[in-house]
Amino acid sequence: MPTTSAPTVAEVADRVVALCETTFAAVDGLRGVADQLLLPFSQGASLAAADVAPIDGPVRQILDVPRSPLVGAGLVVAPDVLVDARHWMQWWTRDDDGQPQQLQPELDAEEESFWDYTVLPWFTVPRETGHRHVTGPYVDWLCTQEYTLTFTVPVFGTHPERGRCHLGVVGADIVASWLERRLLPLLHRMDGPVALVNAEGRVVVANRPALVTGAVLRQADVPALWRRGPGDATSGGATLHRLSDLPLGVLVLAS
Amino acid sequence: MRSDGGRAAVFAPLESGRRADAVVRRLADGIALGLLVPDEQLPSETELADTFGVSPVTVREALTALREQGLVATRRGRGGGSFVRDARAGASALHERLRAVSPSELRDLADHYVAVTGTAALLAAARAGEQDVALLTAGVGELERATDAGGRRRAESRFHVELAAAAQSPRLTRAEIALQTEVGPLLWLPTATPAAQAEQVRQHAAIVEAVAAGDGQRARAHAVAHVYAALARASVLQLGLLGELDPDGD
Repeated sequence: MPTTSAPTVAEVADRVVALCETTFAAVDGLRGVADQLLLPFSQGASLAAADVAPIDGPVRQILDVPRSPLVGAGLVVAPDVLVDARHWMQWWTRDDDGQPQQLQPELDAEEESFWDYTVLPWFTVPRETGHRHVTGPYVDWLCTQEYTLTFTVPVFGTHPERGRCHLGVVGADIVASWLERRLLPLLHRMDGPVALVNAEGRVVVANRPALVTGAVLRQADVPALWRRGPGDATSGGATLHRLSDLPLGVLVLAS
Repeated sequence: MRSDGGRAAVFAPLESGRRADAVVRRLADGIALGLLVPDEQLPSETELADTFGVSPVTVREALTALREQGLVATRRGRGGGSFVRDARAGASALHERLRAVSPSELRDLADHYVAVTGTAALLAAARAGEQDVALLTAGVGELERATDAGGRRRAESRFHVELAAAAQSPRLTRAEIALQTEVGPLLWLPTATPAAQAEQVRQHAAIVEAVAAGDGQRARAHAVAHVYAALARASVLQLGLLGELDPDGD
């Protein structure tokens, strides 16, 4: 193998951003469709679940791309937007054979097994911030049943009477192992311990066995470093390089 | 008849999926675990097709793949058939398995394995009889005497199945057997060095000592530490293997 110099933190960051932007590009395509389907809401017309169903075509299409990292995608509608369903989603996952299957969770709030997605971070964070979000890695026991990262973008509208409303999110899931496999070759060539972490300090992927994927790092107070804002933050020999516009950072630890 | 239970698991019908691959994996696991021993003759193609519930063509494909991996040899003519070759030849195939999972998947496998093995150790301390302790002690000796990678891996796997059997739980034992086919290549492969062998013999001895003393908490603590020590070694090897992969490949 040719010898190459160790990658810089900036190179690792660029690679992570590129992988995430690929995923968000697919999600943004869905947002365009969702905006169109939800447009009547902003014109004061009543919308039903059947009116958002046409998003299924584009969703299935992005899941059907060969070698696509996406294992789930769709539209999740905010409460009280549709007249015939207080809670609703058009969400698809890929089954073991790679075929898209529509997810059919219990969305009737009267039922014991009601799945209240309105409290989950992939729904609430984009709603509160008005901005895209990456949730995870987490065990997505309902959809993928895998160690997952969920990429979501909010959809808003302006109702003639109700004013500006959150209408829902569009999003896509990737499995954590996809990111791990693509980042390890780069991380492997770095000299010291380096981890891609989320804002709470959970490891997405790292180049040391002790920094196992899924662990919350104790070697550095990532949430404290995170609160210092964009850019690099250092404390006790650990430097967090926050990625612009993503809730992820590259953490460089002392050897 | 524990070894028969293990053999039955090797030959149980397959549900679906890529069938030839599944047949390859089943037989390769059986060989790696020592449930199928070197020079043992495999059932005929027709019998294998029957037991796995696949077509003879699928079995032929699988046997070709196993031959290419050096796990099986086919002899022609009278007394001919497919025979198990020494598992040492399968080391590169096992490296492939370690490459095929990600660090989070390997960690998750170890977590699952710890849940089963830790509880087996806890219960074995409460329930093991003299005969069970004797079998476990013999298992420690088997690992100590193993002289090659295949032998070490087999001894390691057998010990854990015996531990679950000593817990008197058929379900935990079946779970151990089922997990060994994944854990064997992924966690025990990187321990196939003399240095790691000595360390693992000590860990096994500590588990058996705690089981014999009836100290469940200590037996579990030793078992848990034993598995995570193996995970740490496997992770070092895996990070090296994955670090050399083509980042855009599957």
